[in-house]
Amino acid sequence: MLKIKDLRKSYGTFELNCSMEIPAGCITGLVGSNGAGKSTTFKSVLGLISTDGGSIEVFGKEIHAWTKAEKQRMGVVLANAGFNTYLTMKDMETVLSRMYPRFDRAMFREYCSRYQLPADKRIKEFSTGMLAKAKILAAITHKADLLLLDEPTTGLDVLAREELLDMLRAYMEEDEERTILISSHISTDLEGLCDDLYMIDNGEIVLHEEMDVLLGQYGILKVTQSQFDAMEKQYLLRVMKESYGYRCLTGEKQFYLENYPNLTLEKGNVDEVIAMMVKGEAI
Amino acid sequence: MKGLLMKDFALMKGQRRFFLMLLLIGMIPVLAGGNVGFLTGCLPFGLCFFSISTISYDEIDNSLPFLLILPVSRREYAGEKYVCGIIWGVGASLLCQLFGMGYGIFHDDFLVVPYLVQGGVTSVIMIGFLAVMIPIQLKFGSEKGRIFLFGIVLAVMGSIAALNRLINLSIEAEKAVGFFTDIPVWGYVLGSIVLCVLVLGISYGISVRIMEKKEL
Repeated sequence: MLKIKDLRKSYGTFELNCSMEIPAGCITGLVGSNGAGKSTTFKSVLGLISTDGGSIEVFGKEIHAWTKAEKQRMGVVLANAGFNTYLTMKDMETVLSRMYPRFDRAMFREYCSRYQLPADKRIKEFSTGMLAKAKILAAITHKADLLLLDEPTTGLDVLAREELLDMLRAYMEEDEERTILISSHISTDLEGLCDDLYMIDNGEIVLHEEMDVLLGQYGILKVTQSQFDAMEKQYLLRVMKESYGYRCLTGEKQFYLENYPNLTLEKGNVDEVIAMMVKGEAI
Repeated sequence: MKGLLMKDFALMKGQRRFFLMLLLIGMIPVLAGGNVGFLTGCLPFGLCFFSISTISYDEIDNSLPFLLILPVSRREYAGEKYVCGIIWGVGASLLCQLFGMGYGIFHDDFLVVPYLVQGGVTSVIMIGFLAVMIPIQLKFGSEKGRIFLFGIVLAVMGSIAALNRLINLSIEAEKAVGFFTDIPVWGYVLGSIVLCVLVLGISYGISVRIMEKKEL
């Protein structure tokens, strides 16, 4: 569905250099710290910025060969941009219905009613949660085949985030070929939603793993110096010096459970894996 | 482009109080002293200016990146600003002309032909204004665009003053002015249309280039 190959973009000292492949029917997460390159990746895919090299293909077509048809199959949420806030949901409905042949007015109105988004109120008067829902509505109500969501849940409380994620789950259930690429700082959102995950740091992809594997097979070992010296290190991905010895990230938790049952081993989660991949040293 | 026009129409609808005020300002001289010409000068320019200001509205809240991810090309975005300006500005001008002709039916002392000529000249100047301001707003944004507008107005006023002085001092210049008075009305109409199309075409080309190079 989306193929990014050797995408390069430079901003002063920052250089993006990444490759990703998002298959149809999957929800893929993109995580990274602030300034890692998530939004730059999104903007490059959408043609909002020029690139210094590489190729981007969506629906099998290179970005420079896109026509309106490709854009009509995509739904996008941008972190810091949205519909003009002097307009209303009614205006949004009118504009989207003119732009997207598959726009579903009934669905749009039903969602507006369900999520209490008033039709005649200016968007600038919406709360943060309402604004986030409005952005998602604009992305999903024209039956898009591909959703690109750049931090759609930022600034939302737990309940609002859960509502938004439910919208996305319902969207995916309607058609198994639909695809989502979503970036977020909030790893718990991605753990419950994504099939696989890309981690980006300083413009480079540092890890790509299936979510089931990441949560099931990755673990954090906390070992003393002597334990570290004695243990098998070939399955360690990253190591970080701590006051008690070492903290180690492994992608083969089972190996250490079976062979070193006395070591302290914690279940991996996305936050810890990110922290280790970014701050830890490779063996 | 329809979607963008609907978006800008909705923005302008939200400013209907401003337009009512503009209409009232334009109508005061008409009601007070029968000065219908003021309406022709005021209303089309006001509406045209507002259509250009939709570019500023797109800058607010960083809406432009969102608009460009919709099924709209950058070329279409630029083109829509011209279409919007012409629809509102020229449309208002035509309505004012109709109003003037209607006014002339009930007022024998009202000269319709000079009024129509004034309307035509206003439309040409307004199209020139559109052609200059749209690329400036797209390139530099609303704040810097206003400074440029001020500079252009000063430059135009300075040129008119210099030209006036030249005509008064030079016999050749006076002869040139005489040449222009010999041109028939249809010549002016045709020439104005050609000039407007040319100026708009050049302006549109510049605007498209600006939009295609814009990083968002």
